[in-house]
Amino acid sequence: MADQTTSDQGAAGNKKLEQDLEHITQEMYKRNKELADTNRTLSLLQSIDSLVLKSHDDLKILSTQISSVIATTNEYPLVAIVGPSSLVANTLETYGFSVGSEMNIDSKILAEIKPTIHHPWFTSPEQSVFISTLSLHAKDISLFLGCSEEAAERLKSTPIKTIYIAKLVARQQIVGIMAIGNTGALESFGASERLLLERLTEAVGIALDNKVLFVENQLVLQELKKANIRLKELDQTKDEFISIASHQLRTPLTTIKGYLSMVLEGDVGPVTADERKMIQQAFDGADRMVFLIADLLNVSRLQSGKFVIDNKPTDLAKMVESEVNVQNEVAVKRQLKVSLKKPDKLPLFNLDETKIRQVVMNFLDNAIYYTPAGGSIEVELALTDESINYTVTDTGLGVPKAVQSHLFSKFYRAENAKKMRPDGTGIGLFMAKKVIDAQGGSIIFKSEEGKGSTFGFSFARQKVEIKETTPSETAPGAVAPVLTK
Amino acid sequence: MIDVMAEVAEKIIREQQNVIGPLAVEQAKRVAGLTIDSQNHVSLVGDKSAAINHLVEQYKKIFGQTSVEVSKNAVNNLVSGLPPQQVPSILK
Repeated sequence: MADQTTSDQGAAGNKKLEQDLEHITQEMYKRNKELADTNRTLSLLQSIDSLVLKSHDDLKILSTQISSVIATTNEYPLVAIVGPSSLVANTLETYGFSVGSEMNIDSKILAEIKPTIHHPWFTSPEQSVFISTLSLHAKDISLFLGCSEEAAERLKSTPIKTIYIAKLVARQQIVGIMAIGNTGALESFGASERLLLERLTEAVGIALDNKVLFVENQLVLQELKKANIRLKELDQTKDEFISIASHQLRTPLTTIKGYLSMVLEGDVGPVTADERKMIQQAFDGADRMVFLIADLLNVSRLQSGKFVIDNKPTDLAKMVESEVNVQNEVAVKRQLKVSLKKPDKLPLFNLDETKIRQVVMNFLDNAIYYTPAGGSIEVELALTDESINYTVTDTGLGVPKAVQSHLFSKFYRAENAKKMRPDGTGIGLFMAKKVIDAQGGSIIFKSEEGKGSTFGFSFARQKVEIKETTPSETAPGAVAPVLTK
Repeated sequence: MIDVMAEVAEKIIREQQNVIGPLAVEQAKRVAGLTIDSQNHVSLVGDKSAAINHLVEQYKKIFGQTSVEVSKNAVNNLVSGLPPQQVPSILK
């Protein structure tokens, strides 16, 4: 009796165990199915992302590709993406679609689908809607899809029983509509499938929007490229003009200078003090114009590729000293104190003498013009173990930090410099950098607004020093005589 | 000529494989009238509709009603083109 009871209890226990096992197996199946669905969704979204990233095709081809991926992965017999028509306002047109071959759907039906944004659904907060082709009349379907009743009737005769229609939204704007047809009845769309459709709708909306943005960016880029070409053409025309004008101006200027010089020297009779003062000013003006034209010509040569560096042994010490002497007269008139500091002996350097002289003069000239009366300018040539450095340090107005990066650009002039010297061209520093860079040197520049600036250049001795030639003998003493008068 | 019923069976097995892996094929091999080759191609002999019913029943026996829904969804598009009398009863 007891054995029988134990056996019954054992059988009941086994049955319970079996039931539990069955339940666990079924629950695991459900979880597995959810995982498989999620996996499929992720894989699909990844495919769409990948398509958008890789595709160089236009929006319509991309839409067809996306439709095809969705249709293939999820075995939807019909996927269509429509978007705003570029031709007819307030109308949508088919961007791309994919139809399963077994569906036998005439593509003319799809071509007819042109929903208008006047349909109440477009303005409703509802993001998506399911249309049952079984229960809806052709008339209702035609109103929704913007097609003829006849096309709606033909659609009803296909195996498609449900159409999911969703607004494709990106950046809070409707960028298109996606329609997915399925052979299952409305009830066959389970929770996981509805979730997948929601995710898909979001992804396709973003994909479409990204493509539109990309295309817009490309258009802007093309416009910028065109504008750039036009600007380059204009720049070339301007350079040609500068080149021609400079050459044409130089000849009459030489004549003017020549005759003014003759008058000053008394070739046409005695000159009164007042006359001399006025003619001298005219001569100085013409002289200054010659330098301006030389600058313009150099820019022109640089643009046309005729800018050639012609290196030869150069006595930098002698050159700097002579330029300081020439400019010192102007400095004195402007009540500035100029000093020159250079080593006793300096070797010759292999440099383009004419162009370097222009740079030496430019830095000194700038220091004189941009330093208020009472200030000082220190010119220094320094020979270190590695380099030869030329610097001009002034107590002038300095360059504001914000504009320092533009200072060596062509035609650039800082606002404070414009006020102090309205007739500058903005070419000097641009050319100086070109000249120094072209010879393998580097520009020295530091400045503090209101305190002063240091402009200069530096060359590696190894690159430019001529070792075999006799060094230039200069006057003894570490510091050259102060040239201020 | 394409055997639609074999295609239906193949698709059901493939979809079940997505969920439960190789076990789906092992279970399908137990169904009378259904054979699977090394490339998982399915052929049916005898009453094809009955074989598909048995296949889905086989899954249902172990994994419950959810597996029937999975099978139905998998072949929705295929069976929608078939005459109703040809559609295996379990898929209706």
